[in-house]
Amino acid sequence: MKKGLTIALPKGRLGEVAIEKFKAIGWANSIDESSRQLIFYDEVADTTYMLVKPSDVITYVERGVADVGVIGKDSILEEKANVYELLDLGFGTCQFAIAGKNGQSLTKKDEVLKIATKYPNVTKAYFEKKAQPIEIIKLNGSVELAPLVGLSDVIVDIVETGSTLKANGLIVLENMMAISAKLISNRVSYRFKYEAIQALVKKMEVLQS
Amino acid sequence: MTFLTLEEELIYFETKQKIHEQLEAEVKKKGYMLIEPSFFQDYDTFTTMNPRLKKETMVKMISQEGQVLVLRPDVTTAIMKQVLSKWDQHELKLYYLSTRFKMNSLNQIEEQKQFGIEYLGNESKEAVEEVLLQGYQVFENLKIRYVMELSDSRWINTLIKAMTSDLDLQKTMKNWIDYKDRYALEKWLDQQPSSVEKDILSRIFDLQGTMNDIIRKLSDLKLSEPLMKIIDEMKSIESRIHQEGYLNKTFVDLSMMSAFDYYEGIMFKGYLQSSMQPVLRGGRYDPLTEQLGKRCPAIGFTLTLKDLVKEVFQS
Repeated sequence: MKKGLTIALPKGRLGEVAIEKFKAIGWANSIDESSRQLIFYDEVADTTYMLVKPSDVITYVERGVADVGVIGKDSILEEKANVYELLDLGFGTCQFAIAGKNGQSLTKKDEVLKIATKYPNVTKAYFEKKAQPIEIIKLNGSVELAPLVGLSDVIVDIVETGSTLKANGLIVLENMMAISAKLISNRVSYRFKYEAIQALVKKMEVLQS
Repeated sequence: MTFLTLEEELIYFETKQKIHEQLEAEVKKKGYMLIEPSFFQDYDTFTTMNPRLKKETMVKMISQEGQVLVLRPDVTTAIMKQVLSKWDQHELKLYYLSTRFKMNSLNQIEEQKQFGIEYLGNESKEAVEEVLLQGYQVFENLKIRYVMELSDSRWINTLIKAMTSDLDLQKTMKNWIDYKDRYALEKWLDQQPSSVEKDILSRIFDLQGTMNDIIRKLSDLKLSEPLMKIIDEMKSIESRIHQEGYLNKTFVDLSMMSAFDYYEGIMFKGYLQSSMQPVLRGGRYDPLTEQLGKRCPAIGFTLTLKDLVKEVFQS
């Protein structure tokens, strides 16, 4: 069995910061972001890195193809991932929020509140605690458009600076919860590669302090 | 499993059959008797007993009379319901080869063939050790690589109850611990007044390894009597494991959780590298018998056969 870890990193902005962090602890030097290669082996700590689509990080880790991974809390909540959340990495911070046109009420008495979102599970779980009945409209992108064209009353999305909302004449109506990037681990790998995973967690913790 | 050739498929079934026979022969030798539990359980009773088990993973059915039933998500509960009313306080050793049902994330019903043993009516340390070591024996006999994880459910329960009496919050805290979510737990702990329990919880995820490692990590704290008792019992079990030569395959993890809330006392999970979930789960579960009407000492384990057979077949 390979002693070192296999690490799934998301492609895109979150992954770029993650790679920077790994490089800062002296790992992941073999990753060449300008290449189109998807898998990199690094002699430091006998580690293999896989660059995957952000929404697939959890699948790779849950199924044990990767031992650990870096992914946003938003994906963990939406996928109801059965993994360990070992560390908050302190970047990729944003808010899950309900947004809509200024003056839009979130309580519609007997009427159904229509919500467009990329995160149906998170939305459902959040509104379960409220008395307001809702209808969820699943979209895959450009969610801000939905209230403007009358597809929904409000949206549930992650908001970083709020500039996209502002550009579309929308405002945050209610903050739901804070989101950030997490270091996650497969539950079985955690047991078989405990020392290696702990070593990585400790290094990342030192970097943050 | 998918097979490229018929020959491969036949070898797989032969392997499976051999493993089933071996498991049965082993426990029969020790006086365990076969039982076949019922398929259906009352939905409300089951979910009240296991509040943290995800409801969407249960296969529900409605009887002619309108009663909501669940296709047994757990064999132990089904067996206990069947035997407790007739149980006469004597020692009883049972084993089963049964199926449990689960709705997966694609809304398909998964059938999981389980093998397990239940040991009733004996509250001694020896009974705990017999069942636990039988669990180790499964892996040892098959000569496969494994890790056994050990804890005691009373450890987390005692700590959490000392922090809050709010049941919802207790459930949330258990979920944080189950996901080893140090960040969420610490954020909450930061707002709590100082106490020994808070100190222990703030290092709960570091309380792993051998009992000596754990005791060293707790050496600066004055543990309450119930907590000390748990540590002493765990130490004694560990030394028995050491005697058998299994210590290097053992990992005590005091932050370990079970999806089932009915454990009270030792809990253990066996992991194989090729499987995504623990293949063996067990522990002492006297509260389950109490909830079903008659409290009695009970300990057992259950084994997911598919994962075990796959590991043996592949190796």
